[in-house]
Amino acid sequence: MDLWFTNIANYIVQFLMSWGLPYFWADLILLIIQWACVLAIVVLDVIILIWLERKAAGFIQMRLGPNRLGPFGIFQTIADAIKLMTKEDIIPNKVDKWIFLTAPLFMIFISVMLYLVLPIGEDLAVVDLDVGLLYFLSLSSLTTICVLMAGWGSNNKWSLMGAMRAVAQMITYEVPLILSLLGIVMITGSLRLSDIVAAQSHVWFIIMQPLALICYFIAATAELNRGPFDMPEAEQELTAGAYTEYTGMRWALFFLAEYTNLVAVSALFACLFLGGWHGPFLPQWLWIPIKTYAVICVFFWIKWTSPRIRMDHLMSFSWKVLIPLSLLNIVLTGFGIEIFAWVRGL
Amino acid sequence: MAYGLGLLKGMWVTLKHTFEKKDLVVQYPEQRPVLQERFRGTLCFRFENCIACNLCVNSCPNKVLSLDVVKAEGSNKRKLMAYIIDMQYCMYCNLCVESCNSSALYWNKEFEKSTFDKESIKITYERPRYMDELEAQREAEKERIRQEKAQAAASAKKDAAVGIETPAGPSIAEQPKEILTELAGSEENITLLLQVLSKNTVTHDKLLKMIASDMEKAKKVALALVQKALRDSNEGGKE
Repeated sequence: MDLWFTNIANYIVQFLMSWGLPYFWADLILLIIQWACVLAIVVLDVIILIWLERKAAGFIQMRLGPNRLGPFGIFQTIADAIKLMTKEDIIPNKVDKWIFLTAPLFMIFISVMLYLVLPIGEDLAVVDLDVGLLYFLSLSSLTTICVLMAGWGSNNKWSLMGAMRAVAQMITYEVPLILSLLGIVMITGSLRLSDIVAAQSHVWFIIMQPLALICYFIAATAELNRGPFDMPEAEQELTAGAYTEYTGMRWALFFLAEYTNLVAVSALFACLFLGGWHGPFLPQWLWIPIKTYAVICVFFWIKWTSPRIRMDHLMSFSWKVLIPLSLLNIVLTGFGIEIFAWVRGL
Repeated sequence: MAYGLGLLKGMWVTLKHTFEKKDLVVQYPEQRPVLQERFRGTLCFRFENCIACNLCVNSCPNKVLSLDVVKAEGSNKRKLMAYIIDMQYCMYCNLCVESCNSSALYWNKEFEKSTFDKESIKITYERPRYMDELEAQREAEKERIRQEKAQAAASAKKDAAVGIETPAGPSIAEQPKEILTELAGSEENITLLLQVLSKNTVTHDKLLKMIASDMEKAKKVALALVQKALRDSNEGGKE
């Protein structure tokens, strides 16, 4: 069962090569199929997640959430998607047209690219880069530029303020995010994600790196513009932040990208701290989604519980608390590795 | 070191709420809301009660109400042909219901009033067919009452002419000397009493009746009147 998808991929390549295609072309076609699968997973995930978030928010606030369309309202998101797709695409007169139009496209493109390095199972990443973690982190911070494009191009005060906040927040929280993950890289000695997951076959890093876990979780919440850190699109202050001027499908693309990022970051969390594909009974490729959704539920839970933090508190929290903590984590991990080596050498 | 404890506490609260039974919100089309007694749903009109006085139309701030009135030939009587309520402008202020003298307007609890076009939200009450008959009946009833009253008045007049009611007779001053002395005593007091009574005819008549029915009571009243007159004249003298 663990090897279903690997076997299907091998069968496709062999089938194409039996038609006389060279290996390069067969591999390219396989890559295209994999891309399509990633896109399908992304869209499906977003449809489920929007429903799940509304339902979770409802339950937390003692409501029922969407419950009209289909059993438990699961078709609500589909109806919403149809509505968004058929809406008029408004381009205001005074916008910086090219930047305004391309920002959502770049955003969704970058978000989908994150999935390429995530290992769903052993040998089950689309591309298993040996600098996978670095690739993931650098790409995820690229989405900030798209938010800035949207905010700047919209030529609107709310948009610009939202974009500025997003950039300030991302720059601030990128530092503790990466520093907190350095401990794991020091232990495994590799930036390849499949190596990191393989290193957790006995002990998950949630036990070995609890401090890094907390730092990463908080920083990731801020990176995703979620929960108590959703300053860039604080609807009570900035209408919709950088997305104020967007309508219809372009706005939906931003929405899609945001949830895509949420899934990607949660999946990375599952890979780095929760042992990735390791787990009893169920096949490997089922464990990653289960763990990812568990992490996402915690994100929802925090978002709908806590009130929004103030902008200056947000900044000072990162610089004064999170960064020292993650630096401390690096020092402690270094000592731990040395002591472990010394004990084993005895 | 209690950082984050508040967040954990809040998360515990929301977790508990997540698994609670969700019955705070009325699931509307299936469950019906409990409407209060004075709930204002739709404005309704009782055609039979209306007297076409136009008060409701004047009281309405939004020009929701309008009457269709014709005047019968040769008379000034207003005849209501239709009553139109344009609910799209109504703000449920209740002023029309308060202004109505004949309780022709009232609220029911029907609140599902959305329609597909503006025209169909208008409520028009056409004049019912039985109204002519009803008004004729009422007219007859009024006529009957009027006649009864007129009869009663006529018989009362007759009675008055016979003179059962009025005890008229000689005034107190014309009463025999014995009765006056019994009432007031001395000569001075009699003149004082007659002075007071000449100013006040109501008291005079009452006293006259009392003399006929109850002499003791009449004495007391006359004494009180005389004493009061004395007191008044004394005070006037002091000033």
